[in-house]
Amino acid sequence: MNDEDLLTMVRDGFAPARMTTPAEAIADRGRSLRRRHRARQAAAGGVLALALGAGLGVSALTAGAPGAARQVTLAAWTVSQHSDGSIAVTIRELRDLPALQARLAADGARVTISDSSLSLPHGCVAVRSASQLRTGMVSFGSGKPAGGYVLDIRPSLIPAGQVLRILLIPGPFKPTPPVTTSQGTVTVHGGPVTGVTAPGVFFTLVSDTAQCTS
Amino acid sequence: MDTDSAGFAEFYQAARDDCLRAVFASVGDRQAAEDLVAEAFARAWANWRKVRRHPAPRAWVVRTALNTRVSWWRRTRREVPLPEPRADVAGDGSLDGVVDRALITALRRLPVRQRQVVALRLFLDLDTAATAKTLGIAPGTVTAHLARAVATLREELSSAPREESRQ
Repeated sequence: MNDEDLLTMVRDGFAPARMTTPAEAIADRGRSLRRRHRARQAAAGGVLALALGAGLGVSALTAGAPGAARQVTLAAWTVSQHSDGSIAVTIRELRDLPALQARLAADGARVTISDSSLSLPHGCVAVRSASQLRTGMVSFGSGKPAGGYVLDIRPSLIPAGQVLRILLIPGPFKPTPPVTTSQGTVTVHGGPVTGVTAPGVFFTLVSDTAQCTS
Repeated sequence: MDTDSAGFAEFYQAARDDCLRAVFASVGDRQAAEDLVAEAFARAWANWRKVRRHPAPRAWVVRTALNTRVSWWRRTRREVPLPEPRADVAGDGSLDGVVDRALITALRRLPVRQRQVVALRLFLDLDTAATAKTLGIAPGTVTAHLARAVATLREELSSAPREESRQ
């Protein structure tokens, strides 16, 4: 039996396996996913709008606070934009991340934030230049809250056509396939990522495409 | 039914069995594969405007199903052992609606990546480049995985009847 015959035998062996889930059940589940996604987006926007509208947690520090231009605070995180354009992000809880991403975008930082998957989205291309991450575009700030993160981001240093992808993982991070680590570099699906592993915070640059940012 | 719904229904009808077989061969469990593929198709439904423009929508579904399995595993933070072959996996390979147990056993003995390569090449008919892109590995790695998988399968499947005859 040659290779082709063997593979044909394997293929034919699975021929009896057929999907039994009706299309209606798939559509029902799809609607549920879509509703949930829209509800999350609406909730994130609502929280931010409420905070901005009511002035709760939002303070304009234009005077008396050298270097700090504006600060937005929710229970889960604080974003402070400084007069030099840099942004300090304090993350206390992994909540309201879409609102955080929206806040950073409003401050001119092309950033995507994920707390769910190390894998890059399908079709998303990682920029294979780790050196670009060592230019100060993102670094760890001081005053780290327990179990949280402080990041300093310089939006002007994010290269044109690229997006800084930040992955946050609560608690100690233990690499599992498809993730591998070697000498401090974490590799996910062929793309270079730098970061620390306790708690897990990883940065990579990806192309500014719909596949990477949607 | 609008155009989008009709397009998805057509895609589901045409692709569901191949996607199921690819994921079944990858994860080694028929019911888990059905659950994963159903979830992946539901996500495709929810994102149909994007998925329909994907160069290989079937590969998107299979990749999503396999990622979902990893995600479920991460969420529980423990290895989910492969269950024993279910009652709907037959030993004689001839019953309608079931798959030969020897075949499943042989595939289970392959490393995960080799299984995935075999599944994408066989059931989705992806070429080396598309398989590599879907799995995020180099084309040369795909070729090496496939060669090793074929060698192992040949050995396993040729020895399977002898093992059964001793029982």
